[in-house]
Amino acid sequence: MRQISALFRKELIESWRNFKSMAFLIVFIIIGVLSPFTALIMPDILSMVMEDSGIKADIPESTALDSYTQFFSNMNQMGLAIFVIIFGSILTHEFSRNTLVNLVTKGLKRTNVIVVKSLFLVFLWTLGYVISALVTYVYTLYYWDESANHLVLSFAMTWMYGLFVISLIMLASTFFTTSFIAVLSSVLALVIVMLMASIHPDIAEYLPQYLIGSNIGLLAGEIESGDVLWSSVITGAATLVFFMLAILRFKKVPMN
Amino acid sequence: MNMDIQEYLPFLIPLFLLQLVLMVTALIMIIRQQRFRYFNRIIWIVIVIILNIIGPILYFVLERR
Repeated sequence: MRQISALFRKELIESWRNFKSMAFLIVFIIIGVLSPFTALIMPDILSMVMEDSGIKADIPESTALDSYTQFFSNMNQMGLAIFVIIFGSILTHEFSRNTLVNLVTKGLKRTNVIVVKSLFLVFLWTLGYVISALVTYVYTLYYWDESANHLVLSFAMTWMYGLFVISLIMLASTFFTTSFIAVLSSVLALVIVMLMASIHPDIAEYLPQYLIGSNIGLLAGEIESGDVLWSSVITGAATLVFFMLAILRFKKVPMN
Repeated sequence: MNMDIQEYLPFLIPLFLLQLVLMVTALIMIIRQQRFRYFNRIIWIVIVIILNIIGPILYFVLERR
């Protein structure tokens, strides 16, 4: 327990000193503010473009759903990508600088290293995501004051997908030890494979990718909450398995 | 153009401030940093100022390890 809290503090201080955690939080707040803003000005921009090109059409006023649509499209693409780019090197840079060797030979349990790194990422992801979601939620409530179906579940799905990505980062890091680029591309590769697999409608519902693809459908009421049950269960199971594999693999990783 | 800037201030002010914090922090760090892994000081300053959000993020990821 003492090892865990000490290591956790080390991670906090490190990411504070190199400003990564603050930069990450700021970007997520920007996403939170930008999404309702984009939804709000979209009708104005569209009408201006249409006026210029001489098309006449009635553009409907934006709704709360538009605001959430913007949020999820920003978060699921840009937000997750920025998270992986900033924190994907959390384990690999320890390997490339050989900073773990001293600690491990002095009796630091290897399991603790990976547990703390994962906990730290989960902590930051949760913090950033909750703040970002709250900012969007408050703005949307203030400007539109409409309710949406399954709001909490819809937000939770992207959060869960984030956990899945974190476990993936950990597993890839233990395999590719020193190469951050390899970690980055393996995460990217799996996402692309899942995207390709989800073309097939029978498999699509069971993939983690389904979670971040159906936020809007759930809010709009096109999808029932029962429909995402299987992909949530599978994502949760995959996350746990990946964490287990990462811990097992990390015990065998040579350090020199 | 019937855009009303006043109406959008609750969005624009936080967006502007957040970007400013990112940029200023990155600039201060660049000025205080002695050795650079990629490029040099001038190029980093230009990158951070020209590319909003992405510039400072790139700097933090590439130079601050």
